[in-house]
Amino acid sequence: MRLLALSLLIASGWLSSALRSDEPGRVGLVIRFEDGRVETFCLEVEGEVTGADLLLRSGLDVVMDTASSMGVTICRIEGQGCDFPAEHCFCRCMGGSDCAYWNYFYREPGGDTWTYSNLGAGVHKAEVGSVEAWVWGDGHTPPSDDLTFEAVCAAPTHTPTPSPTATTFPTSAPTATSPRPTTTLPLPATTSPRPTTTLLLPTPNLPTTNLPTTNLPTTNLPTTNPSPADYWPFALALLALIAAALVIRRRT
Amino acid sequence: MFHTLSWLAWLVAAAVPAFTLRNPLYSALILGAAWVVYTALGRSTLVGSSWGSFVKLGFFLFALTIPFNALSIHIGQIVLFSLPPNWPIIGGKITLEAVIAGAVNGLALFTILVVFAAFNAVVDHYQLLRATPAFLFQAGVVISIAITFVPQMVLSAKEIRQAQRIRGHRFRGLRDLLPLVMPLLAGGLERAIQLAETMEARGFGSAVRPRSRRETLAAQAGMLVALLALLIGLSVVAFSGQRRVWGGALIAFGGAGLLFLFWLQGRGVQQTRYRRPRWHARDTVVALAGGIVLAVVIAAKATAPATLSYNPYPPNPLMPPFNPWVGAALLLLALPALLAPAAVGEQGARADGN
Repeated sequence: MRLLALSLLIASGWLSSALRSDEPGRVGLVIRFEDGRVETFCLEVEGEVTGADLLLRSGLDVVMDTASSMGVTICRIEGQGCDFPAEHCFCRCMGGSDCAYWNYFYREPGGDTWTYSNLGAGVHKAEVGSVEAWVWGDGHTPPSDDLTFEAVCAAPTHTPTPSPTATTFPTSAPTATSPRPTTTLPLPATTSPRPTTTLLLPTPNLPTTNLPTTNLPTTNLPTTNPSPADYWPFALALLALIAAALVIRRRT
Repeated sequence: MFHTLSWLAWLVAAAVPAFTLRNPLYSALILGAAWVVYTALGRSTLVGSSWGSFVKLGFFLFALTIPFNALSIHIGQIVLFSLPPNWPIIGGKITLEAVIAGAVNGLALFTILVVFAAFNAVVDHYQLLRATPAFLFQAGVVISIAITFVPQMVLSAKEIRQAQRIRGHRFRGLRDLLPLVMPLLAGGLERAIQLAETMEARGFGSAVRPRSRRETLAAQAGMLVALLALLIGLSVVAFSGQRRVWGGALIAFGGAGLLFLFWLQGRGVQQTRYRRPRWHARDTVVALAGGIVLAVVIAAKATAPATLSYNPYPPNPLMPPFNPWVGAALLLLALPALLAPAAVGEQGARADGN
């Protein structure tokens, strides 16, 4: 009986995963900072990815709290936000009248409005053809409606490698058809841990800094592995304790 | 042996890093120190014989937290395998970072358990009961009896299992646990009732001054007001940044009110202390060592928090950081074992003298 129920569960999982399209595609990403500056990305994904994963793949400098009681929470993007773990992740929303944090919106494929996400970055999965948005605000202001998937991700061209684009929309521009500089930056497969995605960089004439493609973004936490020399005190201390316990055991 | 208050200082000094530092290296050092203390001082006591079952429970919890974390968190770079993404909670990629984080959490739980097991094994429960404040003395008695019943329960569980096996009972599944659990519960209940009767026959509980109905009502109303003040004060401090002063004042008022009521209720319990435990130099050393450990941990948290916290998920590195000062301070937790020969020798002399 239990075996039957378990096999039915597994079968339904495989069936629904086969029915749902899990093919690779592209997902749009929009970041709007406090000063109104908007950055957009168009990322290649191999299936559904979580919001947090998408942020990490964009190459932005992201600080997130993965062990909080609310799941994965995004504290800081590109220096804007709270300096976790030195500060609380929602340091600008701790009570009082004003509240500002990184709001999570998404736009379904073909959808015409932004939806405030009820799930966090670690749970909500971005479908292929949707647009994800992170807005610094109080949760009531979604990004502008003209940032659709077609606007963020250029239509696929005939070239074998898709051309990733990065644009910055100044808020004073009323239309989204400003000339977009495109750069083709295929990532070398040997250095990337995920050879199916291509990271993209903002073009040099935009006021954002160039990010290295291969290194992970730096945070205030140590980004390099501690050298083995740092572990000598630990090994000595642990060995001393174990030796003391064994000696006492032998003696009494 | 050591004074109860110095053991309490040791417990606080060991439990605070075990609760707050989620780093496998520090957890391993605390585990080692607790094991050394137990080996030196706790093996001969009655409660110390159930150390093995505590450790087994700890291993079981440790093994349980790893799949919990690995299957529910899908962040990380090193992917082990992937489940279909539309399965409700476990769908997605299973990463090595999630497994490591689960192991680190499990190790922290195991460390907490072992620290409390070591404290339980080495402390003298009757002294601990005498050290509880007067208003808590009934709760202290209950806890003390419960703690001393645990090894008896373990022993009687073994006996029951043997007896049932002689009767031809085989343990095949969870349903066969019932013939083992029922006699255990019945025997435990019977022993508790017996103990209550003997305690009452010896006049236990008659030292409490009977209180009139008005006094109890007044005490209850006072407790309610003090707790409400504490709750409102804490909420004000947490949710409204501007009115922190009012919140702090409410917390102080509630806290002071609670302490005053506790003191009032404790006055009703008459205790005679005719054999005070002595405070030796080694107790001062152990208490000081505990204070040093706490001070170093707090200082490290204030000055270099990056060396304490361990987060295996990207973009942090995969290997945990280690602060040698904190490591050296955690070694101080094994100090009671060094001072043990003096304590054990004195206990032996006293036992011979009696």
